[in-house]
Amino acid sequence: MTPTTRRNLLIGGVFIAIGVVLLLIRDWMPPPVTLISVILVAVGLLFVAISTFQIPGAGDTSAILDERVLKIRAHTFSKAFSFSFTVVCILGILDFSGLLTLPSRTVIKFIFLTMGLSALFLSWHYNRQGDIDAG
Amino acid sequence: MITRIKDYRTRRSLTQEDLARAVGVRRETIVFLEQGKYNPSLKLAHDVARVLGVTIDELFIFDDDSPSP
Repeated sequence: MTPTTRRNLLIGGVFIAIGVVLLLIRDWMPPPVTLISVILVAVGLLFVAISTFQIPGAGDTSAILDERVLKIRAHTFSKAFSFSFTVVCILGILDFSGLLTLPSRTVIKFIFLTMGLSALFLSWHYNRQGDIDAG
Repeated sequence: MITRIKDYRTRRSLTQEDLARAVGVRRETIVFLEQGKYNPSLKLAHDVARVLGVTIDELFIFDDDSPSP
């Protein structure tokens, strides 16, 4: 286990612990404390999950971030951003033209959805293909 | 692109995992390299060639007829 993984596990544990404590004392605290505690626990779990995936097994090379993985990751993020930007532009055009009235919360949801889903799909596609361009 | 990585690797009785560990990449990368689906960086090509004791030219054969830029 690398020092970074150990540190991330510790951070995750601290976040979860604070979140749980806040959740237990929420009756004596102002209302936003429930939301804060849920966010803290979620972030803590995320840290723990990421750290767990980074712990390599004996003789296992799957945890290595090699050039192919980094190349695919960079390309995926770039493409996902471009796709999300295009979607937001289209939504903007629809909004400005009066065809659609979009509250900011909906736009934020669209951005999260398009970026997340396109990144997931592209990552799966490129990993299946082996490289960002076939052959 | 055709690669002869598998030939040279088996001649040296190396597994994909051994080669991956020797050049510092994932086993999947070696799989895609052997299938000719991944275009490696010059450094990775050099590292693989060095581990297998051959030159890069011997490992990678490009069947592209178009002139290089």
